[in-house]
Amino acid sequence: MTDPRFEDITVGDALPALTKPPITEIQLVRYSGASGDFNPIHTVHQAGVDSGNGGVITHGMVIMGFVGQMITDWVRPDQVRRFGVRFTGISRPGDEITVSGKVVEKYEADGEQRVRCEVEAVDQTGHRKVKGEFVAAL
Amino acid sequence: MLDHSYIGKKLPLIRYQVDASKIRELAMALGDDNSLFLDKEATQAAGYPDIIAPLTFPTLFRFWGGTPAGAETRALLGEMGADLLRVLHGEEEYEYFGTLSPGDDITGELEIVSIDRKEGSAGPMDMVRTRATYRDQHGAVKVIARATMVVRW
Repeated sequence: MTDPRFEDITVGDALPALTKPPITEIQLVRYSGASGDFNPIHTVHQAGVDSGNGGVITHGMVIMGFVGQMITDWVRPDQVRRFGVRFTGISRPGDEITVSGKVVEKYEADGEQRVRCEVEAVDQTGHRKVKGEFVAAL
Repeated sequence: MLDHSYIGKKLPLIRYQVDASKIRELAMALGDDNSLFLDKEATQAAGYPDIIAPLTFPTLFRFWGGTPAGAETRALLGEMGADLLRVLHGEEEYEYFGTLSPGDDITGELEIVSIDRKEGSAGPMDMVRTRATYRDQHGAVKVIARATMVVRW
């Protein structure tokens, strides 16, 4: 984490981006076991075909997890008050995901100084997978 | 057509005991090497009593903490009449009231909040909104998780 200070932040500031190594099929197997989401469309090729996706696709929550990593590279987990995403596209093994974000609001609430930030995750071609936002107390 | 009688219905309780191994397992599956998730000594040096769970850890509660009767959302959607191969995860949101650490004994109540029909370009879709409130062993709310599942036909 980088310990950002409320007074040093300006609305519009970009957050440090995170580019992940390409997603692998093994990573999806590991994530299935870790999360307990054993939906076969993420690990069994034929199920991915039967679902109309042509093969296995990434759990949306893997991409949200990457976004979460970017957030907690910037602030500590206990500073995050809210974190939400909308899943806008599917990802596949081989996709290289980059997470970026920016500060869109500074405000005070519940006696805390908070920032609201927009975040998104895109693949190597710029296709967006996730769009969301989070609130952190600084 | 989904069975709308599930809206607001009391569903089986979710029970989940947070432990260090699952926190590490999730962080490692995501490739997140943040020492706060992995290293107790480093976390204590940063002023915390124990390691902390990554932000998306509450997703484990409904998958691993459901009863065989099925508090897990997809199993529920199956009971409600959805074709599980055509279910998409639309949205996920967490509202945090503290961090999760080993020893937290979580109880969760999941409820179907609403079902809304939308006409998409590829046919009708039902937007199923769920909310789960997770409390620790002291009764304190730790996190509220909201999700939207998209059921295509």
